[in-house]
Parts: sequence; structure tokens; C-alpha cells
Amino acid sequence: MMRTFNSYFKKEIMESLRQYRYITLGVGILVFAILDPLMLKLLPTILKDQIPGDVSSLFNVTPSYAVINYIKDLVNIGNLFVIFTLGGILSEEIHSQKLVFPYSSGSKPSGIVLAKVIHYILVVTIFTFLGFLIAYYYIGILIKGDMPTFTGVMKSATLLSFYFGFNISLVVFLSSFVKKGIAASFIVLLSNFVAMGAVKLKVIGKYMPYKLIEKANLMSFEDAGITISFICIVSMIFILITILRMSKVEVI
Amino acid sequence: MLRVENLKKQYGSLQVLKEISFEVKKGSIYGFLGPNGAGKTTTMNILAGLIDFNGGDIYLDGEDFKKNKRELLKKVGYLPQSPVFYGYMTAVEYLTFIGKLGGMDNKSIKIRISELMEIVKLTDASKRRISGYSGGMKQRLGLAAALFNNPELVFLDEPTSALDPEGRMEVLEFIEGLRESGTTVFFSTHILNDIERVCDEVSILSGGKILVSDNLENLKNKYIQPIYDVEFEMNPTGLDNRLKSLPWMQKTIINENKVSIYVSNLEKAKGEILGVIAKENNPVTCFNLRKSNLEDIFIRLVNNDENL
Repeated sequence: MMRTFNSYFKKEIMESLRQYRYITLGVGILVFAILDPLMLKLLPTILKDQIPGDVSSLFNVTPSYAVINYIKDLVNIGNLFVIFTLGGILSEEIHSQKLVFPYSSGSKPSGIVLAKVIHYILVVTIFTFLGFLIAYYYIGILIKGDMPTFTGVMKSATLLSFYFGFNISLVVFLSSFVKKGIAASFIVLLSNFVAMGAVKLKVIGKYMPYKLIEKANLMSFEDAGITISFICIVSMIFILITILRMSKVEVI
Repeated sequence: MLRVENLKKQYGSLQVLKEISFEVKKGSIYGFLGPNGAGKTTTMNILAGLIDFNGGDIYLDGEDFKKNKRELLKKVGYLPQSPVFYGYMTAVEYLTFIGKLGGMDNKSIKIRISELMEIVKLTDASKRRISGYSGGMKQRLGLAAALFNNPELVFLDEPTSALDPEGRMEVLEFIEGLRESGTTVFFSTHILNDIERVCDEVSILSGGKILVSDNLENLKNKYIQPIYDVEFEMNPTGLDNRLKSLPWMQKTIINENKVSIYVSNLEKAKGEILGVIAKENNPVTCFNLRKSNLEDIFIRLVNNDENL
């Protein structure tokens, strides 16, 4: 299994570099880290000439608000980059018959699935932490007020990484069943919207991945343990089913 | 090396393979012949572990394929009809990837790449991205990928179909060379000449059933047509009446100086026919036992399989 894992891990790195996946994911996650604090800083100045009167009262921008604004953009837009970049991760390989040579030479489907999932979870986690570090740095420079603690911001980054990790395992799982990757991406998107609504429900709300976003906004791990544990278990189930599916799927 | 027993495959109600059985001996070149839709590629895909089957057994070196598929596949190489690669890789990168999957070390991979690139004549293009390769180049790279891990058994699905005549000859020579290195080759093709040229044994598949499986020579002898074609210098008037009385005689067709003699017992006819013709006092310019080639056998079997 390790042989297949190592080969596919290297192959995913090469593929991501040559097919600009790192750039796409980087744009989706890192660009807002620079743009958000900058826009929050410049918006009152830009609007000053457009709106008569004192506009500064309309924008009560604090560093904490800027961090939450970055989280909002990551969930609304960055998440789209992640989901749509990875929609075809397995479906494309299966249906374009690219697995014929690896499968016919005895490659292990578990190695292929784990290499893909772990690679992209690592990449997105690194970008997320990098994004929060950049955002924290620019917020500190550009926005006046009490800065949130660095630990708090890193907690938000951790919770966001778990959220993205769950979405990655879900999109990989769905990608092994659908013909077109875009279908997997839309299903994940839909499930995200459902989870956003379901998080308000008393009984099941704490099990919804979106609960992590609420906690990230608070920059706290308080009561997040149950949500993290639950989505980790569900993600592992998704990965396990994907491996079983890939062991049975006809790759030609 | 490979034993297939009562292999069945169906898609819904459509039965693609109807309990086919055959055996491939170690070190032989086995030809798999059949019209389009006969089930050749399905058989190949099952044997290469790419699709499942609904019944029957497959044994590779005596081991059950169902129980130990992934391990047994390490002994196997497969070239599909239209090989697909990661287009962003170069040939060297792709073969390195295949070599790593097979557990080869860097040094062996490097040596094997230069060896195979030379054989499949892709040395000059080995550092170009595969997305820019022509169909023939991809076919040759596929052959290199199928053989990269030194498989004991290699399945080749129409390996020469996308090649020009020169490329075809080179690949056939290469396949013949594999026999010398002890590799067992199982290959399907619609080019009957290719089978005649390199195969030791052949199976003819039609409608999901194996019509015949035999050594190529046995097959030719078995399906030999019991007809002698004789050409005389002058028209052999009355020859049909003189031959009629012979016990092994079936019928005679005379067309000017050419005679086709159909016999019912080839063994008896072989011993007596020349003596009978010599008595004619009419010089013979041509004498020939009509021999079937693989194409004749193929057409006869595929068109009349219900009579077999």
C-alpha cells in the first residue's frame, strides 16, 4: 500500500503544479488574506467622495471584525475554490481510463485514495494557516484597535482546516461515484447550505460541520470537541467507503 | 501459466462471455481472435483485473485470481487498445511513476527506461510531454509501460492497430523477442497475419463463446479443405467419369484445363490420387492441396459456428 501511496503522492504534487491547482487553491484562500484588510481600510476613503456626510460612522472596523470578515470570505468563496478544484479528483481518473496501467500492475486503491485525500488536506491546511498569518499581519498594520490574540486566530485557522478537511473527504467520496466532477462539487455545495441551516437546530446542530465556522468566528475551541470528533469520524467513513468503491469500480 | 475456466460476464441481461475456458502455456504467444463485439476486450479487461466477472475461475500460476488479485497482478502487464496517460507528464516521468508503483529502485528504473525507449523508438521524444504524442507514439509508450515491470504475462489488446506497416513489423518482432526472454504473451488482434506470424496457439471467440482453441498448425490441419486443385496442359475430357468409381471420390468440377477434385477421405486420397492422375497421359502443370489459412478458418468458424 505504501508503494502506491508514495507514487501517487508525488504524482499529485506534479499534477497540482502542472495543472495550476496550487495556484487556484492559493488564489481562493490567500488572496482574501491580503485583499480583505486592505479593502476594509480603503473602503471609507473610496466611499468618502461618493456618499455625502461622514461615512466613518458607517464602518466600525476593528481587527476582530476583519478576522471574521476573512473567515466569511473563506467559507463563501475560498470553499468554492476548494470544492470545484477537487470535484473531478477521482471521477476524471476513472472515466478517462487513466487508472488502467496502475490498476493492471497491482496498485492498491487504498494507496491512491489516501494519497489524494492526505495531499489535498495538507495543502489546504497549509494555505489556510498561511492565509490567517498573512491576514493577521496585514490587519495589525492596517486596522486600528485591539488585536485579537494570535492563539485565537490560530484556533480559527485550525477550525477552518477541519471544515475544509471534511469537505475534501466528502468531495473525494462523491467523486468516486459520479461521472462528472462538477456534479460532486454541486452536491457538496448543497450539503454545505443544508448544514448552514441545520446548525440552528438544537439536537443535531452541534454535529454540523458549519458549527466549526461559528466557533471560528468566536476564535475559540469551546464546545468544538464534539463537532470535530463527529466530522473526523464521518470523514473517515467517507474515506473508507471511497476505498471500497475504488476497489470495485470498473476503471475501463 | 494462465488457466481460465467457464468465465462468465454479463451486463444486465446481456451475456458478453458465455462460460469460456482456455489455457495459456508459460512462454508461449497466445492469439485471441474474434470479430468486433465478440468479447475479446472484455476478457482482456477481466484478466488484467480492471473489471469484475460474474462466474468461473481464473488461475495464474495455479493461484486463484479471485482470492489474490492485487498480488497476482504484479506479474502482469497490460496494454489496452487505446492507452491513456497523464498528459502533463513526459514519457520518462510516466515510466518512472509506473516503475515506482512496481517497487523498482531509481537505478533500475533509469536503466529500464533507456532500454525500453530504445526498443519502442521514443528516445528522442522521451522528455516531451505525452499530451503532444501521436496515436502511434502513445501506443508504443503503452507497450513500454505494459512491459516496464518485467511482467511474466503480458496482455496486449490490438497492439499493432494504430501503427504504420513498419511500426507493426517492429512490434511483432519485439513480441517474438519476448518469447525468447520467457515472457508469456496473450494478444488480441483483428490482423490475422499478425497471429499467423507470431502466435503458437490461438483461440477464436465469437458471440461470447470460444469456437476453437488450438495450436496453429493443428488448426490448419484440422480445418484443411479436402480439395485438390489440378491444372493440366490440355482439357481433361472424361476425367470426372473415370474418377467417379474411386471410393474416396466425392465430386469433380472441371473448368477447361483446371480440375477441382473433392475427396471424402483425405488420407486415402493422398496415397492414390497422384497415381490416378499420372495415368491420364495429360501433362500436369500444377497440383495443389487447397490449404486453409487462418482467415479461411476464421471466416468459416465465425459464420458457421452452430455447425461445429
